[in-house]
Amino acid sequence: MNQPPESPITILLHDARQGDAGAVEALLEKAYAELGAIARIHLAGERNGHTLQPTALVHEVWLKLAGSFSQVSDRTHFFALASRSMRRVLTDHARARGREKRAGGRVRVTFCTNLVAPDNPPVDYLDLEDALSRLESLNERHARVVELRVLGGLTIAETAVELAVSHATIERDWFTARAWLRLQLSPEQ
Amino acid sequence: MSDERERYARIHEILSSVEELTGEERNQQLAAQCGDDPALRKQIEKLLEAGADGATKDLFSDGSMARSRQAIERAVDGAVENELGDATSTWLPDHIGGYDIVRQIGQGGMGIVYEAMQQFPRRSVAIKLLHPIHATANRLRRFRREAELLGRLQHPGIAQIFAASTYDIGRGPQPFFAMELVVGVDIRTYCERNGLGHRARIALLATVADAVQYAHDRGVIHRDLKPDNVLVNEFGQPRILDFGVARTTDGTVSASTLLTEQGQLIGTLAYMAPEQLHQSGDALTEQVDVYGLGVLGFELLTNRLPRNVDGLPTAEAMKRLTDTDVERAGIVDPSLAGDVETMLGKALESSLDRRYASAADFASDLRRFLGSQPIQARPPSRVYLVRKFARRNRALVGGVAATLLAAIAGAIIALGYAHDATHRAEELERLLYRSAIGAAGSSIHMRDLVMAEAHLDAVPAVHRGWEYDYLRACLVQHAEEWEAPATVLTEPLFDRERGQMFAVMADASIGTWQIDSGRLVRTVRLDPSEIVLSTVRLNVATRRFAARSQEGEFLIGDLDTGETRALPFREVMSFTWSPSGEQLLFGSDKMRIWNGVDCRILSEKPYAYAAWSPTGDRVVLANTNVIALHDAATGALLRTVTIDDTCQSVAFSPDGQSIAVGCFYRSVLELDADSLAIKADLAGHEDIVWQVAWTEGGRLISASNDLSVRVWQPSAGLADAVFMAGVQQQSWSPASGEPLPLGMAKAAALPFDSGIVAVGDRILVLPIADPTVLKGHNTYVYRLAFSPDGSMLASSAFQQSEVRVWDVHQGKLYRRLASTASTPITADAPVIAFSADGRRLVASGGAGVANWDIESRAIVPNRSVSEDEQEAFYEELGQRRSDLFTTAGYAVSQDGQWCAIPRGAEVQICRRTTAASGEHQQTLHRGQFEDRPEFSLVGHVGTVYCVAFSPDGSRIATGGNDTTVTIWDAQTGERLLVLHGHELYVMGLAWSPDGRLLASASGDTTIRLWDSLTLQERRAIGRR
Repeated sequence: MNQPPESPITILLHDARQGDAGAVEALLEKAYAELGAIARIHLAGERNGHTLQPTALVHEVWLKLAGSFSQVSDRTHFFALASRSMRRVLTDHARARGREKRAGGRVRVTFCTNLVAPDNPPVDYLDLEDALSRLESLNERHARVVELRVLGGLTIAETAVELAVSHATIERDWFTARAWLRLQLSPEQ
Repeated sequence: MSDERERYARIHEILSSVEELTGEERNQQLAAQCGDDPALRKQIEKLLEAGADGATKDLFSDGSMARSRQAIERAVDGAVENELGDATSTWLPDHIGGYDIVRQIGQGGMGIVYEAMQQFPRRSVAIKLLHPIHATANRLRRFRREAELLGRLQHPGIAQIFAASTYDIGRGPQPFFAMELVVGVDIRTYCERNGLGHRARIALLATVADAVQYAHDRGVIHRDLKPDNVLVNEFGQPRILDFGVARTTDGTVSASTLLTEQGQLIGTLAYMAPEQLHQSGDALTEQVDVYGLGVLGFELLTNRLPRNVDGLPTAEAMKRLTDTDVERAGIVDPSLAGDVETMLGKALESSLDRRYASAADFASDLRRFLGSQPIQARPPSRVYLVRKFARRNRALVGGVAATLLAAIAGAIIALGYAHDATHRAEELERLLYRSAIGAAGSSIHMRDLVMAEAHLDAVPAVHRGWEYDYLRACLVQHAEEWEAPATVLTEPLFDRERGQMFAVMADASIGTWQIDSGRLVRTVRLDPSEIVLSTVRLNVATRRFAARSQEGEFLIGDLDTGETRALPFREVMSFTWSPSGEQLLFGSDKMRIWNGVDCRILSEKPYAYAAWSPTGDRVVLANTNVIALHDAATGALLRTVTIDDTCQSVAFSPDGQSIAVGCFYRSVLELDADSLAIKADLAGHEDIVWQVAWTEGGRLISASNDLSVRVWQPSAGLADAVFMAGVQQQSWSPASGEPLPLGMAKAAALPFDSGIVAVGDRILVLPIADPTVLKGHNTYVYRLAFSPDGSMLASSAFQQSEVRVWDVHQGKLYRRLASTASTPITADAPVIAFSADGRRLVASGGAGVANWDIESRAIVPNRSVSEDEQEAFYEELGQRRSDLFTTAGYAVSQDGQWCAIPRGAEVQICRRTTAASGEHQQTLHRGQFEDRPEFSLVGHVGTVYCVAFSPDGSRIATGGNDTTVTIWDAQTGERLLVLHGHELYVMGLAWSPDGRLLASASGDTTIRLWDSLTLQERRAIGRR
């Protein structure tokens, strides 16, 4: 079968915004593949393979896929889409790490939430993923807000636009979801 | 779960209602909301506490989220800015001539563009200030003459040039243009942003072509049409920028574009007509713009370029542009097949005779298409395609090297090199060497043997080094060819047990070749007055053959004597022996299976092509566009499908999972052997595909009338090898006197993962085996070391406590050396080194140092590491200490005078500062080398992780994140060859002590051996 011609990301973005589910899917797949490859190489390059900086990954992907497309609104939209792929990549990666050390059980993969604030407490990514899955079962939108904010780097305002709800709603969602996550991930739990 | 959901929803509701309240108000609200549920209230209180944004160290604090966001913004914006060049560092003049400069709009290879305000008349203009290098006296004269002409171009589709002059802003006189400031976006963006359909895009293209024709009528050629030069304003009116600008600055576009960044140059090359690559500016005609319009149209309609040269080095890009046909629009987007494809194809013709003679002709065809009238362009005929192929092949052999030389010479002269003539000649020679090596490498990569050989022959002898030997070795391996006294008429057949191959030739003989030597060892004569030679089907297992007589009878013959007897069937065809050789499938009015005694009917309908499954339980039949699958035992029809093409050949894959079909209209299909659904549609052949065959390793070989043979990995959908068979002489059938189809190749699978193709009277062996790849590590391979005699290669991998030793000659694992609890090797990448006698291996990492006896695999516990071992060892350790986890390793040349230090995507080459004593060279560290590099190796597109000097110091190998291994001239820093093959980053490199073999270790878990010895030389030293 002929491979369908690869659409430039700008067209996919455009189609995705028009509500084309196929374009969203293609975009996610593309982002996922790119993220996976970059994550592998990135981690290998770091040589200590245990620290993931999702923000760093997402820009690399952004630059690679759509660096020439500089409209802010599209950028935000892309990050929003990429955040979901990001979650898959990080989970895959953390699980693969775990398998590599099959005897030793679970391996801690530290998740740095940002590039510039090392003051953030380190979180084991698989713990975060578990908590996020649980949150998803309790309230999908709250989980999505966390995904967008934490993995996509979206602001409250951008998240509101992305999810088509009011600014105040996202603020409240974020407050509850974050508090809930902090409790879930605090050492006493 | 729904209880939990409800509870969470309730919690969210309460939290939302109390979050902004404080003190007593909050307490009251909490009491009211939680009522008599103390557990709920406790939980809410805990959440309120956790949710407060007090400390920045809290997870996902507002502060950290904001900083994270800023980091993203900076990274993205910063990178975009870098791509445009550092705009802030460019000094902004107050005014140029009579124009007040407002701001810089952009910059490129030719110069800088400003927005400016003209003092009189008062209006906004764009000022294009060209680089001072364009300002020789001759050029300035020409510039003024041209500028006058350009000023007369006034057309709504062309941005008007108001004035052209020179201005000195302190760097010598610089030519500049003042032109209409066009407000709009480039045509590509315009089409995308407005979601224009194909027809609207074609209409827009016709409008652009009108403007081009207007300029042509006034004797002005654009020469540099590309989307960036065509802006569309808010009313949808396209305007072409820079009309004629290229000509005013220089005779050719290439000289100015060569000054730009590599990426921009390549971008521009893709828009250039083939003749622009090798003709001087004065010889060019208006048709270069027709070609430019063709590229523009192709890009607007398909979103890609007709020839993709992204990411290729210049020499390879130019070769690709001259050498490959433009892509067919209908293949990229099937809805463009037919007229649109034909029109674009005609605009993009390499031959000026066949290209549209003028922009007006192109425009009117586009309009005819839009008006649903028949277009003037005709699709090229099959004969034409074949002739074109042959011509191109011939022209290239002699032409490419000269073309490159001319282009490069032009560039050097344009750059105004101040060197003396001798120096310049040397420089040119080295450039030619690099270009020829690059082109040969690219040809070998595409397995185009004829081209590769031509390029290598053109390489000046004086500069030949490792990369030349390496490519030559690749070529020798690929070029095995067996003799055949006459045109081969049937597909070759193999006898595994005897190691022999059989085929029928046009001199009416059955040839027997010995596979290991490739020698024709025996021929058996057939009587061509009795037998139709091309129908002969050999059967090795029972040493028989089947054929059709000149009278249409069914003949069974003896393979060893050539004697035949007739069976009572008439008008027989398509003989196919079962895998066991016991049964013969044949067609006449029906398809029958003969078992040596009697016949049974398989199908009531006749078919022209047939193939047995490897187990002999099924048979696939094909005729015109129908494919039918039958049970061989019962004759039951299992499934039938029709395809969009006409079958020429069918073949079952060795695993019985797939059926390959070669077709008349160029396609090669892979069908699922059960459902007959199409699994892959392999595009690439330019003419009839005569035959398909499988290798035992599951690759597909197809032979086509386009004179090429392609080898496919069907799952990848791509040809991973193209062999240009290059046969151009016509053959005639000795029996009928009819001409045989040109280049009718017969493909067959060899009993190893290779292929064999007979084209005319040549039998080519296609080695499909890849270069030696050592597999076995199950994680990223990081470090390599050769034993002193070069017979062994040791490797260590990421976080593996085990080190592997490979037998280089056999290409196999020799020893696995495991560390023990007392000598744990725990580092991410254990450092390894052989002892001077090659019998022991030391590895260090983390807490441990292990010292193995390689032969016995035992760790030598009570023996201290000898001094000479330590030196080799600590050289590595010293390197580790200083660079641990910060930068990748560096390398010191064998004479201790030079150091190569990776810095990002470049490698700095530094000279030693202190006088070398020679004796302690192994413990040199980078502090002893100057900080200021003599030069840098520039070319990798990602971080460089490893670097190694060849033993004789003439070459440097580098590897890194971009997955390539790159070979450099150590004296000049010029890039010589890029080796592709690894799938992930390259982390370790090692040269064999004799400098002939290079080993690379990669994150893809493999080690590759790049060998510059030819097959014969390898055999001589016992290497596989």
